[in-house]
Amino acid sequence: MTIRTPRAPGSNAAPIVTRRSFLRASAALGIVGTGVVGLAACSADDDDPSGGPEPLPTELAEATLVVSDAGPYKAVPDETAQAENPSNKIYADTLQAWLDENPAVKLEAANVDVWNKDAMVTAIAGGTAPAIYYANVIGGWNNEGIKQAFAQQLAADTTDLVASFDVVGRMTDAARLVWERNWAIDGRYFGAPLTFSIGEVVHYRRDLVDQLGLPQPQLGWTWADLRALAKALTADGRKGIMLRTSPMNAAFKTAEGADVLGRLPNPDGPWWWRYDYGIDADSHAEAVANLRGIIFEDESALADIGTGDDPWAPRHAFNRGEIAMHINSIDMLLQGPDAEDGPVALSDSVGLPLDDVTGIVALPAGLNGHASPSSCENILQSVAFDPELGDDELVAAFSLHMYMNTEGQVSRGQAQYDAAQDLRSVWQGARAYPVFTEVIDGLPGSLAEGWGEKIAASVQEIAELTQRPDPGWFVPVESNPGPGDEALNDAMSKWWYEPSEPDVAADLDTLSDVRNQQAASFSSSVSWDDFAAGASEYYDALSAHWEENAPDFHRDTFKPWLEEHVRPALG
Amino acid sequence: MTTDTAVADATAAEDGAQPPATPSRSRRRRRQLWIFLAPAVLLNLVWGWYPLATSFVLSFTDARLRGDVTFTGFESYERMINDPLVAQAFRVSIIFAVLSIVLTFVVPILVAILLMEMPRRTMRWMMLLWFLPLSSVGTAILWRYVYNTDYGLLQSIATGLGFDRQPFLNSSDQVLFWLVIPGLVLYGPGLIYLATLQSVPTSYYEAAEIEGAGFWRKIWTISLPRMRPVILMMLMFAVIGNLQQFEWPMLMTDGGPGGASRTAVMYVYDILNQLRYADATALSILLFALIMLVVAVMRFAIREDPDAPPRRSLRELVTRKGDH
Repeated sequence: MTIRTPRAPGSNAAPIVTRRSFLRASAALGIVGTGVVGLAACSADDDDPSGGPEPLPTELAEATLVVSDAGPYKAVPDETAQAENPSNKIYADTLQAWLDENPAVKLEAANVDVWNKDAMVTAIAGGTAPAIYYANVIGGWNNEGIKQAFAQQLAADTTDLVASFDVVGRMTDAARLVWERNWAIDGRYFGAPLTFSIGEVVHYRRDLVDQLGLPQPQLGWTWADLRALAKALTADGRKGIMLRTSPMNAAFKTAEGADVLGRLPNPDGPWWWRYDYGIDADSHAEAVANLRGIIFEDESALADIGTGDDPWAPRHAFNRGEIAMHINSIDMLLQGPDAEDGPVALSDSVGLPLDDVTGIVALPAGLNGHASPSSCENILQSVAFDPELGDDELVAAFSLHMYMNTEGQVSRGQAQYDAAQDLRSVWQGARAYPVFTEVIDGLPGSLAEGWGEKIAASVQEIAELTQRPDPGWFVPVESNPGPGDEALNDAMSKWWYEPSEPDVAADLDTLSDVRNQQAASFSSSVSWDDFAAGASEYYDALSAHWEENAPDFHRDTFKPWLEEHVRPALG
Repeated sequence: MTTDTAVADATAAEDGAQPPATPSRSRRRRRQLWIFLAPAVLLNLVWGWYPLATSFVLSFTDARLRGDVTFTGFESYERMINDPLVAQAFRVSIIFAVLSIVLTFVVPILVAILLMEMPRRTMRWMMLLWFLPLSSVGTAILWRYVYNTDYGLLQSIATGLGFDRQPFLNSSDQVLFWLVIPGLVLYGPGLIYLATLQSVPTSYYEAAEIEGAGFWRKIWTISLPRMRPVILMMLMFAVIGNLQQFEWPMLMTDGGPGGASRTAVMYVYDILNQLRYADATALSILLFALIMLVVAVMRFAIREDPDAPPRRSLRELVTRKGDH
């Protein structure tokens, strides 16, 4: 059944109502429904576009910032908390130093779950959000989602403050690249950088690989190589690897190129993308068979739908010696010396330095050279600021953030080192790769001194990998949401977990049909001309990237596909 | 027995004894009623009906969190109805509800009846064990490990008994069955059945025993008929609750494999996460319509307690009772 109410993309024919009149109208209707309750409290502020950057005030004006207990900057811990945990004392001293310098600024603690997207989005809409929150959370941890959240005005415009604080000029090269590509929308910014990470990597037992006389996995290895290594490391009740859902999905989408080769520009609209995963079906089937082979044929992997995407299960299994590899965030390795059941505990139990027990290597490339030499993605976590903040509050919040990530981070790191005399407590977790160069210079020691030369060299190698171009770098951001990824995720979860043999080609056809049916009911907020111009730039960049990094794949697969399916569509 | 039938019952017993109310007494009575009702009505309007009505209106807009809202007519409904995953999610919800009711609804009734037959001391201990207030989320996480295909308890039992390795939640054909099974150990409704049974006068059973009725006869002619209204009410709640199932598949399978356990409410949640509020609201309303339809059919198909007295409206009660 189709109930179609045609509406041309970008058309203004539909009646516009203000939120006030909308709420009035809705209040008059006593009709029962279910669903989104928090939206009732939405407000309709029209943010005026800011002018050019202004010089920073010499002294911060009076401002009260609501901060969440869950971060990124909680209020000063009380004396009991400081006495119970030395790191609370260090944090309190750092923050108090800034508050003393800025006596007009007050922090007010609030209990908002800043790690919960629903809670945060509702809080922003309802005007109860903390002043500073994690921008990645409101964007669902993907670049497209983050930009869409910004386009929907879920964060304050910080372009002027980014310029005033010279944020870009103070960043490391690797962080700057990600910041400019992933966090800018038409030259404007809606937050501030927080931490940099090389994202997900393969953690493996270096000592076991050496004991078996196998070559250490290296950058440029493929998923077939990973399968062989997992098989070789499976012995004595130990499995070669534990596979989570998202790395397997990434293997199919990124390393095997399904997210590029399966999505095509669609000039017929109204949504400018359509899907055809069947074009490269043989390669996709081979990739699926390889991954399934690790689980069902070789039986060298732990993989269960109940474990799903839990990052802690493989970490625990690895540190207990139950598996020899896992794919996880680098942060899972660089845990402080006190972390219970952590990598340091593993090296202690084996009796070797951590560097000789655990190695990290970039994610494998696709079987057919897609994503070569790796599908790793550098990640920049950022904070965003409540769009309801006044000018003075926004300046104060931004200033606090910059302090805590520059001078504050240095003084905090120094205090931690003084207390523990262990560099791993300074260069740990998300703080292992500071975003600002002055922090790297100011902190005691280095990543290599803390964690070992081999680990530091691997981190450096992965951080410097050329990043595969992303459509978000070129195509204008959509303010209209588009179809979700459920259908694609469904296909993949079936392949990874169902023991019965799948018909991958048929699944890909079904997947294309479902996604096209979904896409047909969405309208793009971007004009076709703007979309096509951005998409052309994107495909040019992608072509250049693969020509340089995966020449065989570029010649045999990508270029013919581009000429046959993409160029004619883009005109 | 529902509240209004109980009131009607009580009123019926007093009919004839009371003179008809005068108009002024009747007005005063009505005013008193509304004063007592006002807080509940107000709370319901503000926290219940207003957000629900707003949600309904939102489903006809593009429902942005900030900025102006544009009316889009049936666009969200059209999108949801034409989305193949919506049909799949509704199918999953319905199968889950049917499976859950078939496999788990009768057990608490049987448990309650059997508990009543036990010595009082044993009954108390069994109640303590069976009706412990188990956390649904905690139980779901525990069962996730029980079902783990690599090191789960059930897999150990299956292979220990000589069966092949079982896929459990990893199979799209079996996943809903295994998701329903833990419901067998959650006896929350059993408490309500037990309370109902405890309210049955023991003289009924004694009389039946004098008449020579055995165990099954007593259950069939006394226990079950007395429990009937409660069973019907619990059945209604079970249907409504299971059609809105969310937490178990969310925690145990995330809707997989292949979307085989993604319920309608899970899909609403997924869509909400994509900031598609109008679509999520439209889908919620479609689910609401389905539940209303099922409930209406049930109300039509299942007769009320034949022994219950006829209902009376509030106005009728007020008018007849006066200010007594």
